[in-house]
Amino acid sequence: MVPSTPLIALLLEGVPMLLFSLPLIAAASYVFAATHHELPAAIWSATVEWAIWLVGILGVVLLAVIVFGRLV
Amino acid sequence: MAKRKERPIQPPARRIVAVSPDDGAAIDLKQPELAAVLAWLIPGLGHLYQGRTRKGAISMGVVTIILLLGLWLGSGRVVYASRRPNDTRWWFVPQAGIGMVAIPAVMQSLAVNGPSREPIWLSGWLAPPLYDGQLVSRRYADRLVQTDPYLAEDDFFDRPPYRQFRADQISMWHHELGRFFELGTLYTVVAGMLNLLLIYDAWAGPMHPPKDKHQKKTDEPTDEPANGEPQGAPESESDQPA
Repeated sequence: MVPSTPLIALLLEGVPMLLFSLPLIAAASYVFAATHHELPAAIWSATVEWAIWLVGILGVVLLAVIVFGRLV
Repeated sequence: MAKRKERPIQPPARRIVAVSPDDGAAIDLKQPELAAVLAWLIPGLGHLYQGRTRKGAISMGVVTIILLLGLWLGSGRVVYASRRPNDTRWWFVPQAGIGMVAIPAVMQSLAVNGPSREPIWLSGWLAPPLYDGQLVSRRYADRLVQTDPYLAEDDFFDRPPYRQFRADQISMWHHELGRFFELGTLYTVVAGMLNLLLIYDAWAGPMHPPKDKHQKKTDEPTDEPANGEPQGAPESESDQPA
């Protein structure tokens, strides 16, 4: 458990693990976009594009894991 | 008649530029190697040095937030350098993509395993966990007993002038943190790997777009500055004085 305050730790315990991936996806989308573009407008539009791709790819992987997990 | 001394011709100062894939504008990379080192030390610092302020500030914020979140989730224990039997911390390799945590972690590890047998920062921040049979200084042992609720006086044998640990601290950390140890590790690993991309961007500029897109852009007339070279690799240079 995160030894900050017990309340925060309790709250974090209740957060589904899936939600912890969202900050990582957002950060990765921005960095991927920033390493391919220079203008702020282009970076932001590419960030959205990357986020959609990452959520899609990881979502399909998660779906496959769930489906195969139920079959096996 | 005195022979006039000829001044050697000064070669033009090197200036390394990259080309923005969006508008074809030149990006002054200044000293790419220095920018890469700065970007490694602190995420985004290389971009700030190059004058790419907005990109640098946002990159710094994004990667630093992920890193700090990871450290917080893992109570500051998920980044440590260790290479010993049963505890080789391979996750440190990607985590070392950020110098501001890699350098203190290596220093802590060297100090704990050095003659003083105690870390530089006695709080144990970024220090490797103690293993069964490890000798530590009395001061560090006392500090751990005082601050770590999982440790007690009984966990250390007296081995003058040191004290010998007789438990497994990494197991205690896993027990205490549960899944947050892995989560913190994941966050810090991702932050380190993302910073590697930012280091490349500071060193060489934005990655080139796919060839067909790039070709289309170069075919169109652009208001590219005269000092911009078409290929933005660090090898390119122009005659503009520094």
